Amino acid sequence: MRPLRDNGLSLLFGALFLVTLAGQSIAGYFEYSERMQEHGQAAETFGAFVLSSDFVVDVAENWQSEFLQFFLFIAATIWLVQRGSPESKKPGDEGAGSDEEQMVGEHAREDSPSWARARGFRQVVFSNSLLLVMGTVFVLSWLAQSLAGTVVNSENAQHGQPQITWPEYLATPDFWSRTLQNWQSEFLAVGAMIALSIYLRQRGSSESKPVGLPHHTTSVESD
Amino acid sequence: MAHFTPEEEGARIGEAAVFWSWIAVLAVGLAYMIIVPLTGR
Repeated sequence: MRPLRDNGLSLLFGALFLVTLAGQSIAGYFEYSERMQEHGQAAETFGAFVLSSDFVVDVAENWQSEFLQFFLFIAATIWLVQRGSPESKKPGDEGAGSDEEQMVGEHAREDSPSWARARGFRQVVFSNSLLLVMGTVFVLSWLAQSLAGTVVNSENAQHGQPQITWPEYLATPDFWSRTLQNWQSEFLAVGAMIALSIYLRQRGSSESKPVGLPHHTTSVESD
Repeated sequence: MAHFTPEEEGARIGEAAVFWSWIAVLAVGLAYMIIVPLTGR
């Protein structure tokens, strides 16, 4: 099937996302139910759990860190390079590139996207659209994490403690622990990918240099 | 205007379907994650 072959990468990761999200909701429900029982509270239905901030806060904290990772990676690779890494442009290519290199405005090809041919606002927006969308998803999912965390902590505070407000929650260890535990692993993985791909190869992967390419060669396309 | 063969046109439709499906997943996911806590659940 041609459509399946042409789009296999996004279809695989879409399927993996749905399966693992379902798995997270089931495991999370059992863990939540056990916690409720330990505290002598009535069990909730699975549907109520999925529509609760207890589940949302766990989903959102992972979403925000993944999109922050890609947002920073896309932004940093404009201006910074790593010699020898296929994840990087070659040294000397730092920056946003000329209009000719980027095929925008008068340098657009016949089959370039219309917003690449356009001038002014539309060209600026389209030229940065990947970064804008990744950054927006990061900000909104971090906002969702903070809102859901506020509700969860307010429910936990019912044991004789005052309700917590959203600004107060932003200053709690819980918010920053959830945030930073995800950030550190994302930055470690990205840094490792950049550094390890200098000397290591994966034959056939677009994330690797060809096996026989010298270690000092940074980016195949720009060489 | 660029012209495409029926096969190329089919591939372009597939690309667009993939792109907008992912945009929809992100939009629905973000809306769900923001609305649930705002309703106090």
